[in-house]
Amino acid sequence: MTLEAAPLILVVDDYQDAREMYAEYLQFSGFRVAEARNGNEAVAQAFSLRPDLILMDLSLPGMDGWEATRLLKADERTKHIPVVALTGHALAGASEGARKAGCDSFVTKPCLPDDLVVEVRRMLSAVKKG
Amino acid sequence: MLRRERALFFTIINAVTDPILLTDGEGRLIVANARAEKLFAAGEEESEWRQRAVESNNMLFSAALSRSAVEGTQEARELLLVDPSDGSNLLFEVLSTTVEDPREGTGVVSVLRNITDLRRATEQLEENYQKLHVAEAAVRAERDRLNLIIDSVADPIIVTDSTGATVLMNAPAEDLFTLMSSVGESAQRTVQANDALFSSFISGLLLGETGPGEIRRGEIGLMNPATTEPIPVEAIAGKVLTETGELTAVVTILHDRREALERAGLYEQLKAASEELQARVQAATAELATQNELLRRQAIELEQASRLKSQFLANMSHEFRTPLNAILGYTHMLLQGVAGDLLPAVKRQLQRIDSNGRHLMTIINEILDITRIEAGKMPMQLSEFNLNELVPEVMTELDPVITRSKLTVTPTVSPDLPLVYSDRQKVKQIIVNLLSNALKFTHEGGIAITVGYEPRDRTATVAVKDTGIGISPEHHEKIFEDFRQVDNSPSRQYGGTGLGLAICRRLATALGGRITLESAMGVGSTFTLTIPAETEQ
Repeated sequence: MTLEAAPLILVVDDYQDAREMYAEYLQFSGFRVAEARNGNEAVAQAFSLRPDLILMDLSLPGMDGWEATRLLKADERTKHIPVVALTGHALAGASEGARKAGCDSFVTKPCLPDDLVVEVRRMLSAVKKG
Repeated sequence: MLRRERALFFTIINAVTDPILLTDGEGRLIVANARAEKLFAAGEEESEWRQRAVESNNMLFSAALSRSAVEGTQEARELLLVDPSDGSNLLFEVLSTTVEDPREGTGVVSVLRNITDLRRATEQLEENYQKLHVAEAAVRAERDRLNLIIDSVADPIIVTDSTGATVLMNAPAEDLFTLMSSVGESAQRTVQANDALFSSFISGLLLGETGPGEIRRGEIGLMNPATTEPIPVEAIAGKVLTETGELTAVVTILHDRREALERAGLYEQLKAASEELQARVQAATAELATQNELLRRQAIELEQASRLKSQFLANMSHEFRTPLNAILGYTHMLLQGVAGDLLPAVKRQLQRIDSNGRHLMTIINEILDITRIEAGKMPMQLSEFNLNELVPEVMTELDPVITRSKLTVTPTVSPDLPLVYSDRQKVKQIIVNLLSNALKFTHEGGIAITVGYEPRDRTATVAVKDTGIGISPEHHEKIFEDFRQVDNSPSRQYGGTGLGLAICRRLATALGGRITLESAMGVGSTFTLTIPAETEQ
């Protein structure tokens, strides 16, 4: 733990158990965490909090993850924030669709909290380097 | 008075145009009428030729008289004389009658009747008769020929006159209409019945308004007199008219219709059979069309059901993943010590939850794979890679299982194997599956993984050979079916979905390759993956 503010991760998932699980483990791993339950909340939180990374579940009620990602990537204020797509759908074309929407990486559920933290760290360091 | 009578006598005999002569017993001329004198008398002043002609006539007459006297006949005889006036021949018939006179003695009265014209007429008549005879012969020949022709026609032909009386018939007609003396009563009745039927037909024609050249047709039900077999005939009759339009004859041909009727009957039967056949074909075709339609619908329904099943399984596997993700996640967090240190027993129990959760995950993934392959939605990512490198990777992945099995796994790579162009992830998945199976079904011995290359057909192979329980030949195909293990009972010894080999075979097929099996019970099995080693074009 450093004095420098820990990176803020926005966890977007409509399934409470999964959302809180990832949030808890990210906090355990030293990150700050914000949560959103659907696309609309995700966009609102992203604009107000400007997180360092967004974990975006794609299947969401109301505005879905693809749509939210497109909105954020189209906005100057949020387009630089890396978006890691999370999905339980492993059918052909799912990851391709996520990339088209502007997601920076793609993780298939089930994903162990540990593996997810590894991916989050990788993306953040890539942004720093970039 | 005597003189007057004498004059009258001469007037009478001179008036007779035939020469009349009276000769004495010696043939000397006593009296001749004027016509006789022209033939037998000539004066000194007459021409020499005429005198000679008269002389010749006298000689011929005398000869005739003497012949008549010798033969003693009273019959007329012919005498050819010469006309002294023009030299033409004259033929006479001589009738000589002997007369007795008390004073003059026996004399002969001869009357010469000129038959020159009669003779000529007779000759003419004879000639004409000859001609007639020849003509008649010709006609008879013609008629014979005609009869021959008519008789040679198989159909009965009857010629009747204008009153309906039969003039001519050929042999076949005679069989129907002529009474033979030897036949019985019933045949006679039949002939009479035939005759009556035919007469009725002819009278219909004669009374009817049939113009020249017109044909009257009718059907008559005759019978064969010999067998009483019915003979339905078609009668075709035509009138024969003279130049002036008078009816001279009616010619009728009777055409036996039995054959035609039989043929028509056969044709009807044939037609009926054909129609029935056609109806059957139509029915069969309709049935086939119905069946096809049914099959088509069933195929669509099946396809829909299959799609729905795939969609359902895809959805379900997603639904399974969501809670399983939480189970595995929280188990993992607890094991990571997120909630603080764990008692060893708790940790051991959490590890059981974790390993079972992972197993469940594998099963769900396999179901999802099958679903994706069936739906044709299995994503393929083709690239060039070294097949030799995959073997140690697979062994690393399965290291915990290998360690637990206490079996030795011997890898052999192929140094001359070129890079293969395929889906690296899928090939690896197949090898993982084959090695997992080998480990699962082998209790002692070892496992050999051998990479090979066949340059002839440019194929790469990975053979996984075990010393396991083996598979009996009747199960060699079954084990590749979905959800299939050799032991499918609920109490089976070996776990798994039974989808592994089914997935492997489908993946191999999707990659243009195949999986083959050699196995003997109790000796072991060798599963070989063969894929084309095509490099990217």
